[in-house]
Amino acid sequence: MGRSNIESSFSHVSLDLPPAPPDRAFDRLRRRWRSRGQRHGLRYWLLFRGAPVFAGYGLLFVLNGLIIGWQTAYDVNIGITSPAVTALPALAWPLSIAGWLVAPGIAGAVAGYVVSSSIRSRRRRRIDNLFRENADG
Amino acid sequence: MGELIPHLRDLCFSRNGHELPEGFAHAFVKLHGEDWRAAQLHWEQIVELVLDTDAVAPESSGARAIRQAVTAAALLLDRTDLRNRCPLCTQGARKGAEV
Repeated sequence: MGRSNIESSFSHVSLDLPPAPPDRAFDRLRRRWRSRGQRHGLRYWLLFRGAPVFAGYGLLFVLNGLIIGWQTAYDVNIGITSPAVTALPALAWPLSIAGWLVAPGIAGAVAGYVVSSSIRSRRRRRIDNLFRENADG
Repeated sequence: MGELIPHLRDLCFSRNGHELPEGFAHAFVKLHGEDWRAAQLHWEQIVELVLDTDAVAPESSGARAIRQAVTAAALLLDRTDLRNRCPLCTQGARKGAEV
């Protein structure tokens, strides 16, 4: 590559701007956060919607485990024990509801999405694209 | 880890890997009074919004999604009615005036 090619490949539209400030770690972190929309569909939902929900669910379970006991928390979670008979029903009730309503509901919705997505994607590919190299990454 | 929204500094180069109207990045920084930080913040916010529009193909992700969003955002800002004003600067000024 000749010198003129190097110069042209690095040419600014204009040189009348002050130098850009350096990219700090916080700036890169902010750009990474704002770029999260590049992920599509299920992956985006799992990372930015599902993960916080399940983190909250996990926190609820841990709190219950610490206060009402781990075995009791587990039994309340899967519906064996009524939250009303625990040491702190006000904390056990949300865990009980999450155990039989929220978690199975979300897990079922995710499974349903994966299955229906797989079914829908059948026979959608264009025959012209068969055996052709994918030029657009 | 995924692609990042490109920095305006890099988009000022002629070979930046994106399809942009000529001189877009430079003009956008100029629009913000040559304040790189303000321009970059608004640029990132706009691309973030565009990533959630039909300008980005539903099945694309990663670098491809970022490329589509960057091109679409630049073309959006290059529209005649937006060429001389940043929509986020205008929005901020309008909110300030309402207060």
